[in-house]
Amino acid sequence: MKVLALHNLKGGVGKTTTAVHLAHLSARSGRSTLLWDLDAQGAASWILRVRVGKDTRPRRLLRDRENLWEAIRGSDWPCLDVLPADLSLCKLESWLQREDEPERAFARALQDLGGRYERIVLDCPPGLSSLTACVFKAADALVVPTIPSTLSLRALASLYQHVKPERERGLQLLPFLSMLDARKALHREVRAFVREKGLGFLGTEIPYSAQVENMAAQRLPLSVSGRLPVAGAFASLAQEIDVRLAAVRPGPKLGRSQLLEFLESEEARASQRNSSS
Amino acid sequence: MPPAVSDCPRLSPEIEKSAAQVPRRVFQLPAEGAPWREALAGTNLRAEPERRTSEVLLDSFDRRLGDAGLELATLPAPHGVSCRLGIRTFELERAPVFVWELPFTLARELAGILEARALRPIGEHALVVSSWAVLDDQRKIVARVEEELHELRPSAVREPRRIRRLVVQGLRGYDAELARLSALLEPVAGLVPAPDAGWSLGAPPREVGRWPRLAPDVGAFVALARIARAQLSILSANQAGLLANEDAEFVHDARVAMRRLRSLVSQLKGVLSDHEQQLLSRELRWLASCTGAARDLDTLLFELRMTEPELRAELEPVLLLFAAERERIQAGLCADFRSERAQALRSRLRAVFSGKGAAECAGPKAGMSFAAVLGTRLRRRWKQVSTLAGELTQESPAVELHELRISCKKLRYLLECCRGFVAKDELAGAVGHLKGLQSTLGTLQDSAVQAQLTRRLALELTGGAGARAHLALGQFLERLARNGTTARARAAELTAEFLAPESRTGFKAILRALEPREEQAP
Repeated sequence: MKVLALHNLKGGVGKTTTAVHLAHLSARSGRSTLLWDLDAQGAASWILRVRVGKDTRPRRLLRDRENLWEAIRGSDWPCLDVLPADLSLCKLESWLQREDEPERAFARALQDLGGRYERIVLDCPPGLSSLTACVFKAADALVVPTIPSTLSLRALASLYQHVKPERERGLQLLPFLSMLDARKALHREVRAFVREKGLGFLGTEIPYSAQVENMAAQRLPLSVSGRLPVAGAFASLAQEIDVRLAAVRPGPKLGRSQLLEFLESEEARASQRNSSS
Repeated sequence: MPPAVSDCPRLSPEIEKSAAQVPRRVFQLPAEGAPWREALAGTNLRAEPERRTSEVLLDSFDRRLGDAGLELATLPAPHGVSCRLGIRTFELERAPVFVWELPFTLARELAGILEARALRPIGEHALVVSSWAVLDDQRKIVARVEEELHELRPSAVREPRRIRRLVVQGLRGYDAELARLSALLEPVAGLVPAPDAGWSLGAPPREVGRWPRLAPDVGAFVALARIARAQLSILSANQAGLLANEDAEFVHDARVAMRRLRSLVSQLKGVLSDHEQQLLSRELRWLASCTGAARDLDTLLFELRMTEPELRAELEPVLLLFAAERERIQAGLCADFRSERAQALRSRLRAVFSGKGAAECAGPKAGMSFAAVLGTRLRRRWKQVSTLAGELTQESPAVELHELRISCKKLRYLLECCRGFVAKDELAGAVGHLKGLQSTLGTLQDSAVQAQLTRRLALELTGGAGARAHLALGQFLERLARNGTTARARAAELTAEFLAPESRTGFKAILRALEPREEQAP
């Protein structure tokens, strides 16, 4: 069983979209897959048309195994189940804060689920919380959708530093460029920099696409038909993640200092542009 | 090896079971159909595209996958073949023939079941599914109703078997919907609830070499002859595959049959005349020894082929060299098996054990009770194994461990003859225990033999093979050494278990069961 967590300190970077696609593609390849929606917005659950059951209480999820199993719902696709979320998930956060060993409770729940699922995809809320701390401790890889912008790169550099103890235990940090818009100069510059230096980024880039935004309205993963180029990009991202997860040797490191240097040079360039204009 | 186009996920038995536990109801449909749609008139149904598949089912000739409850099927795909094992799917460049041609994770999982047995098409399964999604108020699928038409055609059978079914496929967490649909469909005329069983392509091939059912008072010669005939039928069933080198298991099974037969012939002294016993033992030893080099190389090739993909790619020149050596050995093996000496042995065995030559070949104990002869021999062999096991230490040389292994094997063959005389559980416990010890000692022995063989053959590896191949070979040898160390530690544990008082008590119970029963008072 491998646990993939979609996380970024920033919101609106494509976490849920990526989580839904990675889960769908994993299930389509025959893996028994669970998408655990950990974001109280419940966006992933909404896209997959799964509602939280009436009798499911989030705080009991980690305490009572039966409750955990009962909360799981089948999706419209074979091999893909969903542990849905809604606003009541906020109670889980407060329960975790009161718990003595929240990380152990969360890891135990994942271990239980691991007996049934080959792949678990966690769609995390943005920012840092007791819940994300538990996720960092239990996940095998942290997939970080990163918009090619200054703030996103800065957030990535901070996250990299924040999860150092977990990285030392074996957590893989897998950032990739998300919502890439080649019409924007900054996006092109960041892309060129990442391509040149590698920096541990996954090679696949997810382009900005109105189709992705449409997906939420249609409530249908793009990988279902698979005809659009962006669907192909998600498929290649899933493949690349599989390779990294299966690799015996750890992947390349992020190169945080190079990232920070780049951000500084960007800042200098921006101020130069301002003064000249 | 056809490279895997996509990897196959490894699923624990719990996951497989859990996937199978997604609730569903199955109804048999008559050929003319049934008016089930009327019964679901108030349900929001959405027709889904019709699915048609025509799979070729693969299994070994002795149905190893089927016996393990597994179904492997292939169908053409754009870049090769799409394979399905249960609920798992993966793609390969071409249909797999051996376990090592499957994606690595799956190959490791199935290696214990298939070993080196070749896979072959055993039939076709064509399926046409008309499906309707059952939607709730959010247009979320909560169940599926599927009309299935199955056509099963075992290889070499012209007329397919047709089965029509209506399946209500539930979804996890939507049990109430499944119950509602089932309640609506149950009263429909023509729909008959049916078990949700897997598919069988008809009867498996006749079981060759089934252990004979022996009466408690059977005579020693009659019992030995019946056991021998079973082993001869195994030998004969595997001969064509062995000569054609279809897969390594033919050599292995033929070898085991010969070894079991020789072991019993030489251990059950007095059942055959001395002359016959010595002749058969010597000739069986010779024929079995003809397979030794092939078997050693087969085991080594299997180990090499089952290494992880990265190492295996680097070992490719080594594999080619060793496979060529195996081909060379095959020629000699065929010549030995076709020789006059081998033919004479087979004729002699048939003559001795078919009943016609019984009078000439019978020894002084031929008429005695088989159980009594067996009991005496078992007691002695048990003592020998216990002595050898008791003398072992962590520093014991390999030759002593090998001696113990051979004795264990002989004891196991004797214990196997107790079927029908001893309670099943008691016997299974003792045989299983012994098999575990013997198999661990085998791993130890194999790793030493394989390392020796690898070093010898590697001398012929030319410089053209590249430095990577040599380095990979070194890595492989290190692994063999590690396997040997692990097996030695495990053998020590198993030996201690064998010598434990519980094991002795179990064995005494077996001996008691072999003793003649007293006549009951009227």
